Amino acid sequence: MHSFNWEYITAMFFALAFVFVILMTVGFYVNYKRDQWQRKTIKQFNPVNGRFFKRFIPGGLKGKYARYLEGQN
Amino acid sequence: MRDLNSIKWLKAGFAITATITLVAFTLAGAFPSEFTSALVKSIIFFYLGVVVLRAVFFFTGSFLQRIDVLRLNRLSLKNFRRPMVSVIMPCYNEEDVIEASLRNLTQLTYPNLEIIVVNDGSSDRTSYLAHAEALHSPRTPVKVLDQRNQGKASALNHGLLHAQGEIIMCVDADSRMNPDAVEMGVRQFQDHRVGAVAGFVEIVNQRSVLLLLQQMEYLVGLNFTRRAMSFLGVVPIVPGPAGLFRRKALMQAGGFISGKNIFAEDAELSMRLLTKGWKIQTEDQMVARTEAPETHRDLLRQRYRWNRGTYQALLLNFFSLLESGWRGRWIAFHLLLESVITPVLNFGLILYFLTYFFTTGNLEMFTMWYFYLLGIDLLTTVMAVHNQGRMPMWIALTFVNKIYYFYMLLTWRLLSLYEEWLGVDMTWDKLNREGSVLKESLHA
Repeated sequence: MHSFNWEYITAMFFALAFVFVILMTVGFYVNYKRDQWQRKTIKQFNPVNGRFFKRFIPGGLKGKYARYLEGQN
Repeated sequence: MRDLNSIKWLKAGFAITATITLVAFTLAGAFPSEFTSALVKSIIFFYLGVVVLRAVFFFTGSFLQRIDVLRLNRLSLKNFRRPMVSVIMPCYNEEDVIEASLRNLTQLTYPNLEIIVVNDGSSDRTSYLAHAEALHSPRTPVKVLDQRNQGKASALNHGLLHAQGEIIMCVDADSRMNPDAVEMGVRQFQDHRVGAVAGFVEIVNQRSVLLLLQQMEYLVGLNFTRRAMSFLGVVPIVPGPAGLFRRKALMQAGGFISGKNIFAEDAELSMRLLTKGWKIQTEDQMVARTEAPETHRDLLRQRYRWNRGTYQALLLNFFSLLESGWRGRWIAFHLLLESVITPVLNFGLILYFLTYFFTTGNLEMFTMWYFYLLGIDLLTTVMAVHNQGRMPMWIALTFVNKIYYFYMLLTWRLLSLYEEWLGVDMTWDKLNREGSVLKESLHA
């Protein structure tokens, strides 16, 4: 007659729990590292690099975005 | 401290040994033979033996320490000398909690006290609030020092320069002390060989399973072991939130140091004190209540810093500890066991069991190992809970701890060790303080 092998099931449960916890921690680790990398390489939004501000910048806008326009005229 | 070259070799040696061990365990599981399983069995017995011996040591040590405390309690009935104590509180962007913690410090009952707040270049209103609070302190003089942002160790040293006390107390801005904390701690300095006294740390915001697990770790893993180590005068780490130092010892050791390679200035200083032959003891009546990280993300960030910091401190002081007498050798061995040998062996065994299961479908050895460890853990928790007079409900948490929290931190420790070995750059990730619990107590 077939019966549950409780020993085996318990052991299996713990083994799977191990695998889950370890993978979860590795996941946290990857996330943490990605976050650190993003913080390091983040670039500030710069409207001057956008589509419309390449060549001609009207006077009013020039004043408004003066702090982004260093080195350009 | 030795030259950096020998430390580099030591580090490489640990890294290579650990990697070989992990690979060997995996291969032994993947290609099982009688020889490898006999070998692994003997390693398991060795490991379990170490764990049992450790538990026995903690139990005896903490028991004897309690007797020691009883002796101290009798002593304290007589008048003992109360030298001046300078409390140094370094803070960086702590506007949420600074008022509450300063008010808490001014309510300490110790008669001969001064408080020094060192504002480490905060970008918020910390300095302003500290100055305002200092004006309203009638009894205890409060000094507020401002400096540009240079890190915690530098702030502590700055405070130390302005401190007049014979005893220096270092606290964190986010922790709160019990009113008689200083008196209780200062008693221990009657022994002239004591260089520092470590307080106990407890968690205020116990409102989720993760936080309860952390509190349990503090109870069993930190406070209980600290008691046992205190009996020998070799407490390995004087915690940041609550630590008393003899000024002479601090000066002899050279103050706090920080830099690219030291991220746990408290652990580093404690080890340096031990290398100079000072005793470090603990005082269970000096309790700092502090906020613990509430999310997995913050917890792991904190632990990353602790793991790498403690390991860096151990590497820097390893040779000097070995040369400094039995106390130093004991602590070097203990920390090596806790931070390298146990995690590597434990993780290696898991790798072995998993690969062995995939090749043979057999889980017998795993079950034996796991439940044996669980049993020892349960016993240790019972002892710790009994020793510290806590509710028995903490015992139930052992099961959750053993299946989830313990192995998460173990994996994390191994990952941070490998980062240290590979020399990955690290930054001081300041925790995001909720500050809610401390604020609530302020308005209560």
